[in-house]
Amino acid sequence: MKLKSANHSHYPKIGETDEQHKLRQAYHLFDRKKISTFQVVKVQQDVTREAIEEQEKAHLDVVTDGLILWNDPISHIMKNLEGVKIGGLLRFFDTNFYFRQPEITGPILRKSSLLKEEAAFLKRHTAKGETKVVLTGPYTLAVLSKISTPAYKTSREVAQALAQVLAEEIKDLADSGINHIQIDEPGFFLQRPDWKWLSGLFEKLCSQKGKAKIWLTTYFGDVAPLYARLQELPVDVLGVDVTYSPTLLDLIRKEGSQKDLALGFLDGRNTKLENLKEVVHELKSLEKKVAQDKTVYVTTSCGLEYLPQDKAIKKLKLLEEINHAYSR
Amino acid sequence: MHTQDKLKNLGVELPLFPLTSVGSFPKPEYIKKARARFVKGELTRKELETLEEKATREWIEFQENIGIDVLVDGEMYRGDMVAYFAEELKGFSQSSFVRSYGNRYYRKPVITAPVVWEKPMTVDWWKKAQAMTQKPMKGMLTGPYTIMDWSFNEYYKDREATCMALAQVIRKEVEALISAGAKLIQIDEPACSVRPSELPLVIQSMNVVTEGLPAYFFTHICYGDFEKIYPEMTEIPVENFDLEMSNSENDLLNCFKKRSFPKDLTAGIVDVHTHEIEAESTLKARLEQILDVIPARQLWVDPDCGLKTRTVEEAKKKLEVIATVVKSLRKSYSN
Repeated sequence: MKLKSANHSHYPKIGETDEQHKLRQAYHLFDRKKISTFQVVKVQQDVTREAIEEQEKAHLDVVTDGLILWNDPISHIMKNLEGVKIGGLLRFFDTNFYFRQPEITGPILRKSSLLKEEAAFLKRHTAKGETKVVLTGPYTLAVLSKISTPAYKTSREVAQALAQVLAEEIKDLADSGINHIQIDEPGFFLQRPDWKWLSGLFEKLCSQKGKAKIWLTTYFGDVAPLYARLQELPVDVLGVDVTYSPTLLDLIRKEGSQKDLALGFLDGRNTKLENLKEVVHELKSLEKKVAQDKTVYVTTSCGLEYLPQDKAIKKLKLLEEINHAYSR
Repeated sequence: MHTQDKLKNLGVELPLFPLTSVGSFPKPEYIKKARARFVKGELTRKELETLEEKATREWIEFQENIGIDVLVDGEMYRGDMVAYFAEELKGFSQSSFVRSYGNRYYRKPVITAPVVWEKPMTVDWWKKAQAMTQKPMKGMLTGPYTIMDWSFNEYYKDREATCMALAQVIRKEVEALISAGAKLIQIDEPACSVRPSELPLVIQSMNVVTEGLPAYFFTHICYGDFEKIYPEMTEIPVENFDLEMSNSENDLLNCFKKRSFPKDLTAGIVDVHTHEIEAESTLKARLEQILDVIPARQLWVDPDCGLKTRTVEEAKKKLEVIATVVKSLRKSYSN
């Protein structure tokens, strides 16, 4: 198996110094109508560039834009769709992070590309790494939405409509030359899906992927009981949270993987740094069962925004060290 | 003992639909500037405290003027609801900022050693605030489960061990507040719905905090998935649940219709995350909806959550409109 390092998804927007607070300050001033939209966008771009640079400094093979423009993983995708209204705050899974709940008010349509500009910015500013764009998956978006329209009776129908618009989005992203498109589905842990139906949903999503690799990523739950089912879905890379599951690595050692894997070894929700040797040892133990032509991406268990920036940087550096130590 | 009897035994007399607040109020500009200067070493702690007392007095006067029944000190001296306790307890180190939503950040503490209660953390401020008014002043604490959940843990073996260690130290603070004369104490557990499977741990740890102590206890819980923990959550050993109702447009009532709410309810009826000041008619309609489900004698009223995210002006207007609507409702109930 080949080993690569990858950023999971989001990255902290602010740090400790005044300079590292510039995005927070810009939003604050914009909210009080003291600076223009143009000025806010300039700061957003600066901070996005810095997030990409931090990943490149850690020599990650796969980089994201840090999702710096995202308020939360749900409303950022849903807010620009027709037939959706953004509502009140809800806690995002078991974190101390909140999202605004979408309300489905009519037929869901994509008015224009959702992430094309963010993807173009990422491509423009990534010097070395492969690029990855994150999309929250249709299943998770649907189960976290409220339905108040006769257009859809169930969250399953909403997920199907969302899969249609996200497939269009994936086509746009693939056409723009993005290397990896990650579909986040932590919602599998809220409500178990009907796997046969889900397979059809992912076939639709993957049908327009072009040369891009499609990742299916779960986190915030024990993925071991779902592992065999996930292996059957038509995606290229399976992203899993190792920290939540005491039996997952044994399962991979036993069953292997038909797909590339993204293994979230480093806890994205705790500051404690993992032991380098232990992680490398675990990775080596997978070699016998994961085919030589498969890639294992070593990453964090979830996005890095749940950590302070200085700790997030340490986790990125540890990813680099793991990659280096493994290859030695 | 019925919740009303407990209040009576404590010598606390309140009108119908007692008015209160969740805890925090926005800091006036002079406090924000003073805190920044204190961090830079340009102001002494004593100078900062003098200004914090001034701001506390202003908020207490405001609450009295508009007819709030159970007051809070407004937390002019606190930053974040978990970080404040982490700074006062031994065993924590401070980390940098983590985002909670939108443009809101907090310093998420790190547990690096056994947590130890060395001295009272809130009692001096409670005493100062209570001395400024004849009305009852709430003691305000954060619960063990939420402190555990909202901290990074680099020391304890698991979440349960962390939470139960914190329960012991929060109980000591509750005992200290009661010794100082506090009769109404709020122990916030906004994290309690994050892992429904851990609700027994929330109940067990709160039991350690409140068991056998002579006070009327509230817990404030917000922005959670209550459907998954109701009605079991009412087993948390407190008399009053302070819940955000307006954020979800009273959706919580659907739970209470299925199984009646067995304790006192402080209903949040204004959204604390919007600049908009709700109309009296909106609040009246919300309260009438609530009163279709919750008996009048069980109902208290406040905003959804702490108002510190609003400007001083917005917070005052939101509190004023609540007070106006509740006073009018009391009249209609007394007729």
